[in-house]
Amino acid sequence: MIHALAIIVTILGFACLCAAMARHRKDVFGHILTARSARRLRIAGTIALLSALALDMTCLGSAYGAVAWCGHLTAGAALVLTGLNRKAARRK
Amino acid sequence: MKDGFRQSMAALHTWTGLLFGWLLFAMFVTGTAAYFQEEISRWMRPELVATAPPAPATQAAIRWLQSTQPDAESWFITPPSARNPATEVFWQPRIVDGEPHARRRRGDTSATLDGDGRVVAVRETRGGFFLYRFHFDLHYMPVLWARYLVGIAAMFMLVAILSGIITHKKIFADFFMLRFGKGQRSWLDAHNVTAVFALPFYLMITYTGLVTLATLYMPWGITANYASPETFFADVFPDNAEVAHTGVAAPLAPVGPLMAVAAQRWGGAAIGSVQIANPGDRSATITLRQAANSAIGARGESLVFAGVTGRVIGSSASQGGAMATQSVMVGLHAGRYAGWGLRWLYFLSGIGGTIMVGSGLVLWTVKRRAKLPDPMRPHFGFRLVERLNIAAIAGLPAGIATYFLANRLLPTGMTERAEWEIHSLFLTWGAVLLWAIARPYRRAWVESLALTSALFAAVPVVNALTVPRDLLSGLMTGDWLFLAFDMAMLLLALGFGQAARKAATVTSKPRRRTRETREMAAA
Amino acid sequence: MARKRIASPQGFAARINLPLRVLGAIVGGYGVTSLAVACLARILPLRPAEASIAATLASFAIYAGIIVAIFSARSVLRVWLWLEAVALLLGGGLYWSILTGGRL
Repeated sequence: MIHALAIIVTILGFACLCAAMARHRKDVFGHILTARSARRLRIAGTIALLSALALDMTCLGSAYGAVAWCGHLTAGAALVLTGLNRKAARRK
Repeated sequence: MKDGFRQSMAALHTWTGLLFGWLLFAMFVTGTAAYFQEEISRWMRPELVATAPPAPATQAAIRWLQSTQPDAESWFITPPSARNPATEVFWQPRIVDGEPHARRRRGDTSATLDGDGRVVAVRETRGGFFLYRFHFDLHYMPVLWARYLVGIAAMFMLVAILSGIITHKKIFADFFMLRFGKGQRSWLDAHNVTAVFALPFYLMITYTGLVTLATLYMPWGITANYASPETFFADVFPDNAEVAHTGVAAPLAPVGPLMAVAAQRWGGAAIGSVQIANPGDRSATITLRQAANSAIGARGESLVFAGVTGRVIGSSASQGGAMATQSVMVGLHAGRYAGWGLRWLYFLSGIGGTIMVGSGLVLWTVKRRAKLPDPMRPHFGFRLVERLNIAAIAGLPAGIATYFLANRLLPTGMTERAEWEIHSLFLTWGAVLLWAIARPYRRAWVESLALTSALFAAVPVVNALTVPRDLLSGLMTGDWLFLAFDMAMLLLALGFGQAARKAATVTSKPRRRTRETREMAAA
Repeated sequence: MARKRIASPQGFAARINLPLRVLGAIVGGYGVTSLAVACLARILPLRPAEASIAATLASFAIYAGIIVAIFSARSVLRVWLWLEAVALLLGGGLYWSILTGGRL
């Protein structure tokens, strides 16, 4: 189903963006990354989020897809946050 | 320069959020529920089992109306759909000159029919439709007052969103920040996260909500160009002129072929409603409207047929840009166009909004409690906010669970049954408020949340006990609705149960030893 | 870093500052928004129905913007002076427009 696929893509996108942030890097990878890999992660994350938009608009129509994309962003962000907290809690 | 601006925005955000926070919480809860109002209505009318194909069902409904309401001014039929298996009809009785215009109750001019045009023996309930109407009409008050009130609340919400965005210093850096067990900081994190994650939704829903009732709140755009509302409507809907009743009887053309014509014109879209003006008369017209799930715009396309000949005599005029924009805005708010996937996304965003408002309300008290001059005896305003928070956050959900329970438990033959289901919602809500006032603050939270959890958990149990076994098994085969509803109730019960547990185990953090706390400790 | 201070006079003036600002925002803001919407409806180069609707759609953004501006303004006196000035300007323009152009 298109919604599930798009949400998976936004999860990947937000996971990249999250890992690129200094504060959360340790939680995700367990070690600090270089500035260059942080930039790469940010670009990868942004591309993923935009790909989700393209996917939505292609498969659901441009208007419907754009609206659905907002919802997919919300769902993806929420799931990444949940995963992040779980990981941080286990690390403790 | 920025700090003063941010500070003033923070203050603006706090006060606009607090003053209408409880009403906004109620609007979010009922609005979120309203996205599944058809499903809730179906759950609350378990007698409706079989669905029927729309065209024959509509024709059967017309036969029923012809035999029971032949003199009505107009009939309005909603054919069965995927979300509602029954045919809903309502009619406008003809006003005879000289007769006093009696105020008719909703139930007197509407009926629910099955596929063969017979009235369904279904329990009297307002179903999910009540939750939808409460969202903007509230209850126990004239509808106009309610709409002004929710409009003011929505305007406060809009300002709260804008000031919240301005004042949130690290909107990107703090995007994934959600720390538990840190008291005030945790509540702020929860508020920020739920607010930012669905920010486009909140902006959209608030603005489009205002637009939906815009002519009530901001009629000046129209009055600037038109001397009266009638001239405006005549300009916008030129084909809508009412046709006079001729008094010459003539049979109505069969509606099935007309529905096929419309469906073909609209690329296979379903028919949302069938309206027949002056039925049985030579001047009769049949207006078919596109189903809501055909397009985002709320003002869907329509086709007008001459009632006797079945010839197309009019169609919805093409809309200008502004009208189309308004139509799309209203459509976005109501979300009737959404398929299942998107509908669940709307619902989850609504839940997010509910948590955002609720966490904001709690944050206000948590933050202020730390700053109280005498924490043992807070001033009246503070105590009021604390108790109203409990009443809003635990009370309304508890009321809704009771609404579902009452639907199953109230005797079917009872007079005013539908109204009493609604009364039970408010009675429970009121009871939670009283309990919250009577009990010590911490206990009140735990007990109210636990009660809400218990009430939601009771719904699937009572459902299994009260709905006849054969009916239930008939419904279970291929009908996911009852299963999904039970799951939703259990998830809500779990959520509120977790909240009650958390509320019970929270311990006061050791406060920074200020001069006051040292004096208190010494006394 | 220069910090913009919101003018905070003492005594009675201090106490009335916030209520006046709130009044200005809610009531004054609504008044100015209404006049702005009415003027927009007459000025926009669209069919009258379209212009009316377009102006109405924009109204809530205008109102919200005015409220935010009022609460970030430096002095309440300035707020009210601006409100009066804008209201007079818009009101006068609207009156003249309706007088000369009429309504449908």
